[in-house]
Parts: sequence; C-alpha cells; structure tokens
Amino acid sequence: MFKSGWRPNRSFIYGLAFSALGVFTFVVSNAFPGLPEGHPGPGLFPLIMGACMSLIGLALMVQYRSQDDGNKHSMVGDWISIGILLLILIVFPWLRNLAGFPIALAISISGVAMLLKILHWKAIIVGTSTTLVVFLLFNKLLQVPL
Amino acid sequence: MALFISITLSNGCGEGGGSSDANYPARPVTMMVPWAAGGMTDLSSRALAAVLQKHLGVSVNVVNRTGGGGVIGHLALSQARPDGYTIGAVTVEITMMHNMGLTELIWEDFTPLSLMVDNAAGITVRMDSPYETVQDLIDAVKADPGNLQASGTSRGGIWDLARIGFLRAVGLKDSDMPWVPSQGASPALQELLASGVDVVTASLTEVDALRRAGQVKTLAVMADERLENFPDVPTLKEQGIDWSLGGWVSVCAPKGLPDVVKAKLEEAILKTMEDPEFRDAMNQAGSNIREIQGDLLVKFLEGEHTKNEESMTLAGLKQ
Amino acid sequence: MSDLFSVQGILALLLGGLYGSIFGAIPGLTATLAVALFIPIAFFLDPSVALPAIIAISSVAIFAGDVGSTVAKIPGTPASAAYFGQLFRLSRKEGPLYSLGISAIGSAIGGVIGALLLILTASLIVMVARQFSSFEYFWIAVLGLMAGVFASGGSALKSFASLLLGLLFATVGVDPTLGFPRFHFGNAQLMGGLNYIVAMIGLFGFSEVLGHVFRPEKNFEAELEAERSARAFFMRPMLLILQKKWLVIRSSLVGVMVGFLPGAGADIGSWVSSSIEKIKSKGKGDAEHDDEIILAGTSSNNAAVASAWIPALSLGLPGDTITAIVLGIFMMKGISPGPLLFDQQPELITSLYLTFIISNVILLPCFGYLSALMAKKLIKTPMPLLLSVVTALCIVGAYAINNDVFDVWIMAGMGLLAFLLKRGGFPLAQVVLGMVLGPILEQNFMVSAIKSRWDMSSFFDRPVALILMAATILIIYLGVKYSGKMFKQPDTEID
Repeated sequence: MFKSGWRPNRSFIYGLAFSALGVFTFVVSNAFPGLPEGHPGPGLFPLIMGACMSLIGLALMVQYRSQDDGNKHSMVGDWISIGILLLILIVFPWLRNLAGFPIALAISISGVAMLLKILHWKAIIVGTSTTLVVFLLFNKLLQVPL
Repeated sequence: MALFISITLSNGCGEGGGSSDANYPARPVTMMVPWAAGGMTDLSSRALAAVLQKHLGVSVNVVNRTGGGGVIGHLALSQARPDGYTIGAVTVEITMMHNMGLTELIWEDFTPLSLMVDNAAGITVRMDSPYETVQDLIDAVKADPGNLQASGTSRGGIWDLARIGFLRAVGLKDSDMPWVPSQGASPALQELLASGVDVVTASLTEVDALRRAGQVKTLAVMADERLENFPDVPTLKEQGIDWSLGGWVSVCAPKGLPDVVKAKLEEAILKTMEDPEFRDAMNQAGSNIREIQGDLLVKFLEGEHTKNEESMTLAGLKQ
Repeated sequence: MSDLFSVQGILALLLGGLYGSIFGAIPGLTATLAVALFIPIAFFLDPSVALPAIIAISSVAIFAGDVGSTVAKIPGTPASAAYFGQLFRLSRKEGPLYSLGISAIGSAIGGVIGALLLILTASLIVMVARQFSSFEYFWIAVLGLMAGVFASGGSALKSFASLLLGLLFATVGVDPTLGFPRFHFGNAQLMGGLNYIVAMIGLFGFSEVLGHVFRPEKNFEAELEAERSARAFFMRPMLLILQKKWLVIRSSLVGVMVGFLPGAGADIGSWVSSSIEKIKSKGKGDAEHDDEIILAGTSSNNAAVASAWIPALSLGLPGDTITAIVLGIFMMKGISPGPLLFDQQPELITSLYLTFIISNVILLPCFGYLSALMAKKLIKTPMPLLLSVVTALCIVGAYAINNDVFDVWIMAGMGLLAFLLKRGGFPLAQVVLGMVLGPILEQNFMVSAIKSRWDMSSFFDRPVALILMAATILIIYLGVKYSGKMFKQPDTEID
C-alpha cells in the first residue's frame, strides 16, 4: 500500500487515535454553556484536556514516525479471539434477561473456557462449576442478589 | 415471625378473590434508593423499610441505585413493574432534574404513596459573624451587593434554590449573594468555618452538630412552622418573609399501580410513620418527619414542581 | 480495633494472605490483579474487614512474586522483575529456599519500615492538611499529576497520554460542582459517570484475560524444587540481613519515597533500589552481589506497598494502583480520606496500621514459607482454568456493584482499552491516577475560582499553596533531568 516502504507503525496509530479523541473532546465541550458574566463553565476542563490530548497525540505521531518498532506481526486469528471474547460480554445482558443470571453466566463462562482452548465438555464443566462457586459466594455468603 | 404473618396474610386474602393484587404482598418488596448508602435519603429509607416490613408482613429490602445526580435511581424506579413489589424513595430532585436537562422524568411518572421526610433549609452563619437576625444579613447584602457568598451544595442543587428563593422573597437579585458550589453540606460548612464563604443554606439537620458545638448560629429556618426538633430557630414567615423550602423524601411506586395495592401500601406506610420505632430513629438523626398522602400529596408535589421551576428559570439554570 | 481481632477479622487476614501468596506466585497474575478481583467482594464486606484483607493480599502477593523468579526464572509480578535474574542464579547456587528466605525476610523488614513511616508521616501530613482549603487541594492535585507523569518508569509522553485519558474519563457524567451533564450521549447510565470501581475491574482484571486470549502463554515448568528446610528459609537470611542492615534500611527508605509518589508503586521502587545496588557493585564480580541486589529490591518493593498508603489516607491521592482501588472502595462507601477520616474513624486507621505490622511480621514469612513449598505446583496451575474464573469474577463484580448489566459493558470496554494501551507501551496506573485526581483537580479549581471571583492571583498568594507550587516545579525539573536514568527499565509491557 505504501510504496515508499513507510508504513504506519503502532505508535503512529496510537498518536492518531489520541489526537482524534482530543479534537473530538474539544469540539463537544466547546458547546457547553459558560457561567454568568462570561466566566468559563463546565466546558473549561474538557477543553484544556482535549487540547492537551491532541498535542500529545501529535507528538507521539511525530516522534515515532521514523522509527520501526519491529514488533512481531500479530495474527488475524488472535484478533478474532479477542472479538469473540468481547462479543460474549456484549451479548451477556440480553442473555441474562432471557435466561436469568446464573444460566447466562454459565453459558458465557463455558464460551470463554472454550476460547481459552479448554476442550468442549471440560469447558462446560468449568463454566457450570465456576458459576456455581461464584453464585454461592455472592448470593449466599455476601447476600448480594444476582 | 414475619414468615408466619405473611403466610396467614396470604391465606386470609387468598380466600377472598382470585386476583393476584388481592394477595398482595405475597413476596419480599424491594425499596430503591437513588442516593448513596449513608446519606440522609438512604438512612431514612432504611429506617422506613425496617419498620415497614412489620406492617406489610413481608421483608422490604433496600437497594441503592446511585449516579447521575439521582437520575439513574429515579429512572430505574419509574421503569420497574407497577405491581407493588418495587417501591422507592423519590426525592426533591425529581422537581429539578428535568429543568437542567438531565432527564425527562417528573413526579407524574410515579404513583406517589406518601411524603416521608422534609428537612427545611436554614440560614446559617459563623458564630463570630456580626449578623444576629435575618434582617441584619439582608441589610448587609443590600449595603454591599455581591460581597457576601453562600454555599451548601452544587450549583443548581436544592440549597442553591433555597438561596435563590430567599433572595427573591426579600427583593434581591441572584448575584447579590453569589453561590459557591461545594460537594455537599459538610465541605460547605468547612468553608464557612474557614471564612471561605459567609452563609450556608443547608438543612438544619446537616448543621446541627456544628450548632451544638457552638461554632455556627442559625438565623432562620425556611419552613412554614418552627420545627419540632429545633424549636428555638425562628421561621422566615415569622419575620414577614414569604418563603419556605426543604429537601424532602417521598415514597413512590412506578406509575400505574393498581388501586388495591396502592391502598394497602399507603396504610402500611402510615402505620410505619406513626410507629415509635421509626419516629425515634428519625428524631435521632434529626430528620423532620412529614406525613402527607393522597390528594394533598399530589397538591404538594404540583406546588414543589412549579416553585422549583420558577426559581431555576430565574437563576438561569433552566436549560 | 476490636473488628480486627474478631473471628471475621482474623479470617480475612489469613485468607487474604493465602490468596495473595497463591496469586503472587503464579506468573502473569499481579498483586494489582489480585486486589482488583477482590474488589466486588470487598465492596460488600465491612471496610474494617475488607481493608485489612487488602493489606494482607498486597503485602504477601508482592513477595510471592519472587517465587516464580526462584523456581522457574519467571517473575511472578512486575515488582520482582527488577532482580529475578539474580534471584534465580542465587537459587541455583544456594538452593531456592535460601534465596526465597532472603526475599521473604527482606520484604518483611522493608514492609515494617514502610509501615512505621506510614504511621509517623500520615498523621503529620493530616495535621498540615487540616488547614487546607480548595486552593491547596488544587495544588496537591497538580503536584500528584506531575509526579505521575514522570514516575511511570517509561516514556513521560506516554504516561502523560494515559493520565489525560483518565482525566477525560473522570469528566463523563453530571459535573458535581456545576450540575451540568457532560459526554453522556443521551445515555442515562453514562450520566452517572464511568463507575470507577467497575473501570478498575476491567482495566486490571479483564484486560489480563484479553491479553491471554490474544497470545496464550504456555504453561511454565519449574526448574528447581524447594527442599524443606526451615533453617535455610528463616535463620540464614536473618543472619545475612543483620550483616547488611544498612543496605536494607537504605533500600527501604528509597522504596518508601518512590511508593509515596502518586502513580509509582512497588515495581518502580524495586527497580530504583536494585539499580542503585547494581551501579554500586559494578566492576566487581557479578554473582557475589546477587544477595545484595535481591535484598535491595525485595525490601524496597514491600516498603513501597506500605508507603503508598500515606498520601492515600492523608490526602486522598493514590500512591499506587492498589491504593487507587482502596480509594475507590472508600468513595463507594462514602468515606472521605483525609483529616476527616482520622477524626471520625480513628479506630479504622489504627487497625490499618496494626494490619501492616501483622501482615509483614507474621503473615508474610509464614505464607512465604508455604508458597515456597508449594512453588512447583503453583507454577503449573493451568492458566485457562484460572482465567475462566477471573472472567466470571469480572462479570459478576461489575454487575453486582450497582445491580446494573450496563456496567458489564463498561468493564469490557475498559478491559479492551487496557489491553490496547499495554500493547502500545502506555502505563495503566496513570489512567487510574487521572480518574482519581481529575475530580479533585477540577472541583477545587472551579470552587476556588468562583470563590475568589475569578481572581487568578488568589491561587498564588497563600504560603502553603506557594510551597506546593514550588514542589511541583521541582518535580518537573527533576523528572526531566533524571527520569531517563533512574527509572530505566526494559519495556516489559511491550510484547
């Protein structure tokens, strides 16, 4: 993609992300109302922080652009695992509404266990027993409703 | 014991009709509190819940749902099933939050059951300050507008509204005694003692400890009548100033509560509030019990709604 | 105090110590993770039981990190990474039990010195803090932030970025001084702000699971096994420490100073102390000074664990990530640290002090011996099983604190963020520092400014405020000059 041989390394991408977040913060908080008599209001701090963050982001981009951080290439498969793990947690609230907390937790943890390369039937045992222990700990011992 | 009562209760009702409302209450009731554990609302609600289970015959569990300046807890209560098994504390902030654009929620989104506590705002100054009466203070503000500063809570909080209403009632502007925000009554009192501010408008309950220690004096209370727990503090009305305001806590259920259930809850709450066990707990905390139910309560809430909206519009706090 | 000696209190200490010794010994599980997973449980316990348990966990876990270095040449926690090579070499020569003994007894003494200084200085600082108004608290927050930028041990630019991220998170929700809702994007839950405790569970708990899923660590093999000899563990190290008492005291004091700095904890403390010894022993035979370097690092990291509590208790500033968690628990329980805490709950303070002494004098050596004996089994703990349990605790913890499933999402989001930040070499402690200091900084600034009618000179005309400002400038100067040299360490976080 980059013919010159320069490709955006990791620090450059982080710097870019920080800058974008900084600019976004700045723009959003610029719209906050001020205090009477023209004094700065609730927007003051986010504005300063947004400005600082965009500058830091720029500095990160400039400082590391020429370097090659020579890191190992990550594999697509690794990122897919991360995605699945996050998906399990994103779906969790719905699962809980559908099946109740204990069952939802057991299913989710079994999924996580499989992701961690525990074999299928073992994963289900891990999920169920973990749920049981956690449930007993919180519901019975600490009296927290789940 | 509680179990025994609940069994007899549900048996007794069960013979009467088939409807589940008639069986109410058949299982534990949850009481939601929109403020953190340990605060005034939480303490009053826990005191109420402890005694209410005696009169309701099932256990009443308090759950704190905090955050968002009270928005989250109120929202959660309004969205709960209106079956009487979820009730909650609804506080004075329900008349204020929508004005600041925090939420659409107002008191009409609930079924009001009873008022529980109403702690009137006070006007408190340092012990060594030259003001002995409210009139002294008013004269000082008029002589040098903007010099004296008041505090008690965040900007636009209930004690800020107390200040705004008081200033308006005596013909002064909002900027004549500006507000210094604080994170609650105790930091504000700390500032008062350190001469950072001159007046604190928090409730008498909150300033009571320092009052007893002789470090501050309370010039007036913003209530209709003198308070039971503080008979020595004159009201503003006695001095010809028509203004009263308090931080109150009411017990509400989600909107659409069946009448049968509502009646049962109202009766049990009334009994609770007359129970010496509850009264003692509240008196010990210095909180002012105020029982209002039914149509009077609706009227009260309507009144608070308009009154606080007016104050907030006046101070430019309404979004 | 009575609570500490109740059945619950003693049980909390014993279980906390056991939990800490197991967690610390397993490579990849840090003391912070141990405390983070304990949050939801601590939250529902009485503070007088939960806080001593946290002290026991952290004191023992920081030591137990050396178990991995000794038997498998893998540091169990970042705080042991500074001297794990020396520790392993010494174990080969003299046996693992002896080298772990040095590290346990050295830790205990460092911990006691840290605790004694905590007892002394916390009350002194509280006495000064009694006169603090919003102006002084504003400067304290600035000072803490600047210390946080330079005390990360890595790039100051990156720690500043982490700090800003934390400060930004702190602004989400209703502004507590002005009542204005910020960055909630129409979501009622966000209006309540990012729950700090939930964020911590994600940052330190769930991120570990993500990291492992991304690149699984293989199971470790123990290369050495500890023999059962109490003499090697207790007596010989004791004699060595008596010989090198000044070294231990010096390193402990360095640890105390580093631990006191907001944002720098036990790991940085041990880096600094052991690099001082490494520099001193340069030129002479390497292996002969292994015991000195180990002693320096191990006493220093436990001293830092204790001294991190000094600013936490007296000013409400976290000295490290563990005390940041403690402050979060305070916040949720409505306890405000500082002079008020010392006035209103003196018995809690006393029992915390006592716990530090007990943890270091009794728990650390005993559980240390235990974990040394169990070392081989602990190293082989199957990670996937453990991480499944960690995930379950993260989910339940995030949910239970506010009875809200939305918090599970916040937790997951924070976990992802922490995972990404770690990949980029950004420190996590600074994010937390920002989240704690943000509100203190902003609210005290706004209150001061409104109080003084926006007369900015009032920030500079109070004596204590001026001293704090001078200290801030000094920290920036020292930070720019020395941070590169003193805190030098390999970037362990980058994979």
